[in-house]
This record gives sequence, C-alpha cells and structure tokens, in this order.
Amino acid sequence: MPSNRWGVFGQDSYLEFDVFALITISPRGIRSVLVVGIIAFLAIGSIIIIDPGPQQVLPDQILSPGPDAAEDQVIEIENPLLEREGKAGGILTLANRGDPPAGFDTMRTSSIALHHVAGALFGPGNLVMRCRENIYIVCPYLAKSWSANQAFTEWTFILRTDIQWHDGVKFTPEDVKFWLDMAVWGAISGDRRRAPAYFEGDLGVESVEVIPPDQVRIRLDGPNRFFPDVLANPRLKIAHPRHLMEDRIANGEISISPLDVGLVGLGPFRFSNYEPGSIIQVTRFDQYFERDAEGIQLPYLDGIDYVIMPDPLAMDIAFRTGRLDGGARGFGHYLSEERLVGYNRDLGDDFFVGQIEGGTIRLAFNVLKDGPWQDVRVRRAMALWIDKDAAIPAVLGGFGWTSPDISPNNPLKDKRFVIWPKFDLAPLEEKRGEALILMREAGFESGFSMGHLCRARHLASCQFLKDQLAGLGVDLILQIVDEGEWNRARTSLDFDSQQGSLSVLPIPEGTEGVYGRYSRSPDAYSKHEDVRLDRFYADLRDASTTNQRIEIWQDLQRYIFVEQTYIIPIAEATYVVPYRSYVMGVVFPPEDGHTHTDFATVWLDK
Amino acid sequence: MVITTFIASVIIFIIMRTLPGDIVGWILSGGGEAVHSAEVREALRNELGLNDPFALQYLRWAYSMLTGGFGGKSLANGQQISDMVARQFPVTLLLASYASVLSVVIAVPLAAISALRWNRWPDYLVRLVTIPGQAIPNFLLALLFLLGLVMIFRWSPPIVYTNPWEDSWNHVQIVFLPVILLAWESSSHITRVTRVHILEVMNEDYILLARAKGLPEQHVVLSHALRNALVPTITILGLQFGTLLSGTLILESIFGLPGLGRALIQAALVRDFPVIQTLVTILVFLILTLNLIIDVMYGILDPRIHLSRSSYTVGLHIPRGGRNLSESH
Repeated sequence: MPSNRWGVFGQDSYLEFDVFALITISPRGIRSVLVVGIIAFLAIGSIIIIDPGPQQVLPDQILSPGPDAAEDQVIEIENPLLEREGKAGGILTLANRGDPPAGFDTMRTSSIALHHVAGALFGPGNLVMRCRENIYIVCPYLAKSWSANQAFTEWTFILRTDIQWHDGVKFTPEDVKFWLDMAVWGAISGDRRRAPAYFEGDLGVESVEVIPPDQVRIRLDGPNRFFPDVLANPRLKIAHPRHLMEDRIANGEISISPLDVGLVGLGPFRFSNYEPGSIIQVTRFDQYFERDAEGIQLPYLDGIDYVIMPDPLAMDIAFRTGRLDGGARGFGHYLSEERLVGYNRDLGDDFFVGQIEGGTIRLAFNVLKDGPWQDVRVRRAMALWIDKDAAIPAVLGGFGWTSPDISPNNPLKDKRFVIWPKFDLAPLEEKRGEALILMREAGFESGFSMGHLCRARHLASCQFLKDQLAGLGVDLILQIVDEGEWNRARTSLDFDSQQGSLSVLPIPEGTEGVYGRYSRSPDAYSKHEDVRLDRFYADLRDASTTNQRIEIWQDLQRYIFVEQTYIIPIAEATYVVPYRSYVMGVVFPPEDGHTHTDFATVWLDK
Repeated sequence: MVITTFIASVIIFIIMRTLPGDIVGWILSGGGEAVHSAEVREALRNELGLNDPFALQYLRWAYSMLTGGFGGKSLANGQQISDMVARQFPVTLLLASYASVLSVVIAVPLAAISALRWNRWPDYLVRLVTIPGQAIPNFLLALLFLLGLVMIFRWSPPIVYTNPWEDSWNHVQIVFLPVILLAWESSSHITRVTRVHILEVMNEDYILLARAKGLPEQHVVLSHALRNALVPTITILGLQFGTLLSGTLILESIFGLPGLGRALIQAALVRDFPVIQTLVTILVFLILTLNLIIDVMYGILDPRIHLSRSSYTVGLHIPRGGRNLSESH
C-alpha cells in the first residue's frame, strides 16, 4: 500500500483515502459506509432524544427578565443603598514596599512601608486629619471640634462618642491622653525607660488633661496658632490602645508595640493576618464611624491584601499580569517613564496613575567643616552651575520639576503655603558665566575636591552631581554608604556635603528640622549654626495671618537657598503610583505620599 | 563544632559592632522620611540596650540562644527571632533542597555523557549549556524569564508564598522558576567538576583492569568510574547547598519568597544586630553540620578515607580476605 494512503476495514474491504488523489471506494466499501452511516444516525438520534442538551436561548428570553430580575433592576435604580452595594465588597490587592518596621509602631517610625498599611488599620489621622478633598485644610477625625484660648497655648478637642477600637472597646479621652503622654514623654517602668516618639519635638506639648466626658485639653509650651495643622500630619496615628498596653508597660514591657497587642486600631479596616515577608491582610471594620457624603458607612471594600514586594520590577510584572490592583508607595517603587512604557504596552487603558509630589534632590553643605565650601561665593557658584533641568530625566525617571526655579503652574501643584520664589531664572549659560566669576573671586578657579555622602540607593543622583560639578572644576568624591551607615552619617559632621532625603511637612514650620541649625537638629541637610534661621522660625510661629507666614517663608527660602546657599535645591520628584482602572475612589494627595492611605473610600468597579 | 560555632559568633559580633552604622536612625527616620532629635535617638538607643557594654550585649544574646530564645527580638521590626527563623528557614531549606536534588539529577548524567563523549558534539553541547549557567547571574536570568513570560503569555508567578502543605499548586508555581534558575547555576558547576573527575578516573589503572576483565562498558562507567568520580562532587554539592541556604537573596526578593537570605541581607543593611548574629550563627552551625555529613559520606563512598579523632586520613583500604583495592575492581 502506498504510504500516502490509509485503509479502513481491512485489506478486503477497505475505505481507502488518498491524500493526494481522489477517494477510491470499492463496492464492499460502499456497503460498509452505509451501515456505519445508519448506525451513526440512529445513535445520534437516540442521544438527541434522550438528552436534549443545552436549551436554545431565544432573544425574547434575554429581553424579558423574570419578575425577580425586574425587581432587582428597579431597586438598583431607585434605592441609593444599592449604589452602596455597587461600591461595596471586594478585596483590593496592593504592593507594599517592605515589612513595616518597629512592630507597626507609628511612634517609632514614619516609614512608608508602615504608613501605606497603617492608614487602613489606624485611620488617616488622629484627633484631626488632612481633608480628603484638600490636604491643606484640617478636618475633624476622632475629634468633632476644637478651640484654642486667646494665647493659642491651650487647645481643647471635643471627641466623637461613637468610636470603638477594633476589639469593641469604646474610644475615650483617656486614650488620647495615654497616646500623647507616651509620645511626648515616653514611659517609665522600674529602671527602664521608653523613648518618646520621634515627632515629640514637633508637637510642643506641655501637658494633656482629660475633661470628662468627652474632651481633651492640650497645653503647649508656647503659642501655636497652627497646632491643628501640625497635628494633622498623617504620620501621627493613634496605634496604641490604652486598655491593652498600659498594664503591660507597667509590668515592664516598655517597648511594647502595636504588633504585640494584635494591631488593634481605630481605622476603617481591622487586622486579619500578617505573614512577614509575604502579606498583610486587613478586613472591613463594621463598626467604623466614618460615613461618606450620602451617609453610607465606610469603608466600601471587604478588605485589603498588602503583598510585601521589595523588588520594584517584581511589582511591575505582577501588576502587568493582573495579580495586583495597585502599586506600592515609596521611593524606588514609584514609576519611572521607562517603566511606564511597559505598563502602557501591556495594559493600555486598563490602568491609571496617581501623581504625588515628593522629595527633592539637593546638595547641602557642611559649613561646620573646613573647606572651600565655607565661602558663600563657592556655594553660590555651584548652585548656578548645575543644570537642574537635566536632573529630571537623569535622576527622577522623567517625573519631576525643577525647584524652586520655576513655579509649578499646574493647579494640582498649588501648595497653598509654598509659593515658590522664582530664583535663578536666567539662562544656563549666563548663570554658568557668573559661576566661573564667583569661583575666580573666591580663589578657586582651578577647582577643588569635596567629599559627598552618597546613599547607595541614591547613586544616580550622586553621579549626576559629580558629573555636573566636574565642569566647574569641583571633584566630588562620592563616599557611598549603605542604609545603616547613611542613617548614622547624615547626622554627623564627618562629611563635606550630602543630599539628605527626608520629606518635610507641607507647612513652613515643618521645615525647621531640615533647614535649621545643626545643634537644634542633627538631621538638618546643611550643617550650620546660623542663628538667623532661629529667628525666621520664631517669626513663623508668631505670625498671625497666612500672608505673613508666606512672606516670612519666602524670605527664609531666599536666605537659605540664595543669600547663604547652605542648600542647593535641584529638582523635586513626582511620585507616580499605578492602579488598575477598576479601582475607584482612591484619594491622591497632591503631595506627601503618607497622606490618605486609609483607602476607606476605595471601591472596585469589576 | 560547638567551639567553632562559638568562635564564629564572637567574630560576627565583633564585626557587626565595628561596622559603621546605626539601626536607631533607620527606625526613627523610617528610611529617611522623618526628622528626629538627638535626644530621642539616644533614648531609643538606651531602650534597645545598644548603649550597654559590648560584653553584656553579647552575653545577653548568648543566654537567649542557649535558652531557646534565638537571640530575642528583632530591633527592626520587633518580631521574635525564633518566629522569624521558624517561618523563613523552611522556605529557604525547601528552595535549596529542590535546587540541589534537581542539580544532581541533571548534572551527573550530563557530566557522564560529556566525559564519555569527550570533545565530541554531546560534550560541546553540555559545555554550551553549562558555561552560561555559571557565567550569567541568576537574578538577570530571573528578570528576563519573568519579562518573557509577561510579554508572551501575560502570566507571572503568584505573588504570595504558600507552603507546599498549604497550597501545593501555588507553591509549585511560585518556586518553579527560582528552582530552575538555581538548579541551572548549581548543576552547571557540578557538571563541569564531575566531568573533569570522570575524565581523570577513566584514565586510572583499575578502569583499564576492569575493561581488561571484560566487564561491560556500562558497568565500568557506573560502578567504577562514576562512583569514584562522585566523591569530589559530594564536596561541591555540600558547598553548593550551603551557598543556597544563605545566597538566594535576590531571587527571594524577585519572586517574593520570604526566606532566610532576604532576611539576612535586610538585617545587615539596617544593622539589626540580634537578627544578623542569630541567623549567621545558625548558618555557620548548619554548614558545619553539612561538612560533617559530607565527611561521613566520604567514608561510605570511598572506604580508603578514614575518619579519625584527630584528623582525616586517606590510605589504602585492605578489605578482609587480603584483597587489595585493585583486586576488588
């Protein structure tokens, strides 16, 4: 038999197929085919009779829903509660940059790895919060109202009475006093002492008094008209239930953390599960007190899964394949233009990004250390020389703007208080010419070398500064350090210059820790002991109007950035966070990625 | 072994204390995101016991280790280190075990084929596969594989690790790629080492004798050549296993595996002294144990090697009946 033929029914009676030629059928083959055909017909007919299979769906049946379906449809349109049903439910899956440090203790750390989760667990604020619609305004949260005495040294907060901790215990003014006392003074048990909160210096609290049944009076160590603005810092979350911690601290557990007491908080979601290095799960807290504008209880979601993803590329891949609904907040995880290309290619319109203004790249001098940079002309020359626009693609992944050269015109970037002064607006060539003159006048026309503390994870910005300043004859010697050493070194006087990395509060008073004198704040970007800065901040605190504040703030910036050039601000990053298009209701703060991480208003449209 | 572990723990302690850096700054600034005062920093250092004398800090840690506390709590996240080890060690152990088993399964036959077909196309092919396995960093391959999967299949592995006894299918999906990559790297090394040893052994007199006695080639290779060539392979395998236990850091990060390597490096970066101290001591102990097991296996695989109390000795083993080693072949 030729190889291109297949036979059926044996050699004598076969149906022969020729794949290249016509089919050849013998007479006995025809009979066989007929028999098989009849058997097959009968068999198929039997099957049809016995099992009619899926019923054909007629168009009428689709267009004419039954009475139940019609009723559902009517309710969905007329009953606003069903609008809530539409928003309710579902688990949001987000990436988280890492495990929350310090046992989720908001008094210990402001790490975004904690605060991305802590908003859901502990709420978006404390007694007050930044408003969801405008972060520059203070809104009530656990307190429903507040007032100050005439000297602005005493603030009295009236608390809501419908708030419960996640374990069902009522929230009281004693909880506030316990939290504030521990934040400001720490705790003592025997010979052991708990350190105060890292933010204790921002508060300026002298004492806290409970006024039964629902008030708390906070006395300050000086007048502060803007105390609620300070208190609205989203890092100041109440994560310390008195009824679970007080006795244990008294028994010697002074380092007790929220994790040690089961992460019992006041936020819209309650703790469900934590697998370190893997996942944090929270579920809706049914007794949460906040309601939306229509009076519907928040949160909408059933829960949130925060997947620990230290690697940004792993996050990208998981997002692009649909395993994540949203990205992580935190430097390194925010998207760059290059990474966004991959998102666009894979997802098209199936995702969107939120933009949050973030940290600044800068060069700050240690003028307490000997070197050419002690001469203000040298510092000013370096400020004029650096091509700040070039930093945006080179360092910030394409998302950012120069600051404070150009005022951000986008209304979303209106900082209310931070009206950017327009410094150094001349063309680059002109500025560089002036820089060379200044260097010559200072006697350093042939250049010099200067050390630079370089955080390993910020290598790109270090290299950018080195490359830029090489043209001026300044040899920036990069002293690259890991996280552990960076955290020590940046508060020391061991280095000639550094960048710093700390975010500051979006209010002028919040900048003293990074612009002020070294002896007052070792974390200051520039190490100096210029007492004039003390006066600026004292004036800010004494200001009685917003315009006055803005005026002082602008003078302060001119002094520190131009007249003294202790710090060269270069460019400010725009943080870009991706979410899938069905994730609705995310509140993006215009700046400060720690804000509004409660996700209480988020719902899934899928 | 106990003395070596103790000495290692002292050395680790001294190294960590002499390294510049400070976990307190990392905790308080949240990785550089908040300002704090020098007073608060000092208060927290006191609270965490970092200002205590070094000897006291070491003794406190050692006491905790000896009483089953595994060094107490992590300074970075407040978790009990014993809990961390209990959670993370199985992840790394499973990963290392899968990769090691797969490496041996792949490497030994490839090495045999490569050696027996020396300088012929099977040998070239094996070399072509194993050299990139040794040369290309596995994290780069991991990213390439993942990106390839995303671009071609719109698929990526699961992002939440589960143990095999909890959700075996999820476990397989999440460990599949890292195991393949680790096994490729590890087996490449083992293949090349084993191949060289097989080539050496094949030129030994006893192989010639075995062939002269008319033994089938398969028997000569499997029973005589391979068995002897595998002794150094066992050493390599042990070392590779030790490396896998502590060296899967980047793959663990990329694939979301909450293992020991990732925890160790994270702890080292932020100077979480008790965690580093405990994890490294455990790893030292494990690697010493592995070495001991390997030494015992030497004796089983090659009776000429004796384990003595003072040192390891190698000599010609004369079995009962007076036949020497050559005769036994």
